[in-house]
Amino acid sequence: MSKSLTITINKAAVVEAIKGDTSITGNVDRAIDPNKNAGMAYNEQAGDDDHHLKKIDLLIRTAVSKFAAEMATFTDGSAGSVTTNITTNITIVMVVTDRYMSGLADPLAGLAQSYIVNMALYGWWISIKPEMAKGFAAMAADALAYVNKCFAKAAPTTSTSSYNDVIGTVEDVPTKVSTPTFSFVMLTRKLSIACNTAGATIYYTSDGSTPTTASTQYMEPLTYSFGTTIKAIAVKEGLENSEINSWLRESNIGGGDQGNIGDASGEQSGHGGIDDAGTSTGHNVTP
Amino acid sequence: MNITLTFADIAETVKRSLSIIAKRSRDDNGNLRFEEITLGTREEGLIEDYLKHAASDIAAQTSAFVTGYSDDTLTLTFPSNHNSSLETPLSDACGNYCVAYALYSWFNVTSPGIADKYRVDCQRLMDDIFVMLHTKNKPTASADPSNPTASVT
Repeated sequence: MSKSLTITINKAAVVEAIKGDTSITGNVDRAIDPNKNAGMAYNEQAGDDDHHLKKIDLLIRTAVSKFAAEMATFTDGSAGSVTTNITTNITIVMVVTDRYMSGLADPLAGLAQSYIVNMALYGWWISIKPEMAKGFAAMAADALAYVNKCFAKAAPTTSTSSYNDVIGTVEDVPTKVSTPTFSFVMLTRKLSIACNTAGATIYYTSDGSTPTTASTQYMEPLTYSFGTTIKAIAVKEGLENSEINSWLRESNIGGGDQGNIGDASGEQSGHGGIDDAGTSTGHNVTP
Repeated sequence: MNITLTFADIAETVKRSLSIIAKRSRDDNGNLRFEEITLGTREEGLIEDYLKHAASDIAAQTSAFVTGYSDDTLTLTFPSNHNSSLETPLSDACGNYCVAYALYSWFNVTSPGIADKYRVDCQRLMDDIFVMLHTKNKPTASADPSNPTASVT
């Protein structure tokens, strides 16, 4: 969530502040030596001359742009922006964080006006009396330093969640791939081979030979022919190869359930029908 | 604001001044300066030349404000923010400068002993002209230095 901060400054007040300052300076110079300084005082006083007013307008616009650039640091994330508009008023709109303290907005506006006036005066004097320009640059920098303080954030909102007890579990790190298991669907005569180790690759043979990584890779359920011995092994890089498991279903006389999955821990017999003679043996096979 | 110097009018002032000086001023021997100041046609033409020289001086010092110059007149125009209260004294100073210059030039030839007074007058008047020329009105102040406003939504 963000907020929109809008600063409005009366442009005529800024113009007259600039003209007033230069008028005072010119009168001081004139008082020091009227004859010698009359011409200098005349030209350094920003009066109502048309070309002076145009220059003042340009100086104000430049100062406002500089202020907007300085404010970029305080805008809120990817939606942050600083826009300016100068007509009767000088309007500066910023997108700020939701935690911006609204109570600081008014002093921020006053400091923004001070910055703009002093930066414009710096631009006026830099080509006439550079030694005077330095003073206004310093005052603009001073105003900016206090502008920075007006962007203090409010404290973060109270969290509605609390820390729970940290729960940790310890599991043995497997060093060996799990033994492949078989699943047979009688209706379709499809034999599936699976392995509990994630990322393992299964290789199988259907001729009774010992499967290796050079054997056929298991990709999809096999169409099983009764009496065929399927042997499978599962491998994964970084782990020891699994035990070899085998599947044999000699017939399905009388129908029945699908054959059970064989596992490496012992025999399983296929059952489900009257004469269901399907067997499944899982045992380590010496390659 | 405009100031127009008409050389013919200033010439009459010069002649009047010379006439007064002729009646009142005496040289070191106590003699009236009547002979030194009698103006014939040729002398009157010389006075007019002196006035044009003076006008040239003024034009040089006020060049930023000169908007017209002819054989008969010199016109100065000031921006709108010039202090209009100075129009009369400024016009008078310009005219007086021309008179002082003409008298200085005249007496520099005829009576150098009293010429220096008019040289000093010329310098003082030119300084006054320059100061009054370069005097602006105070800038307009229609807006109060009101506090800027801010809103957060």
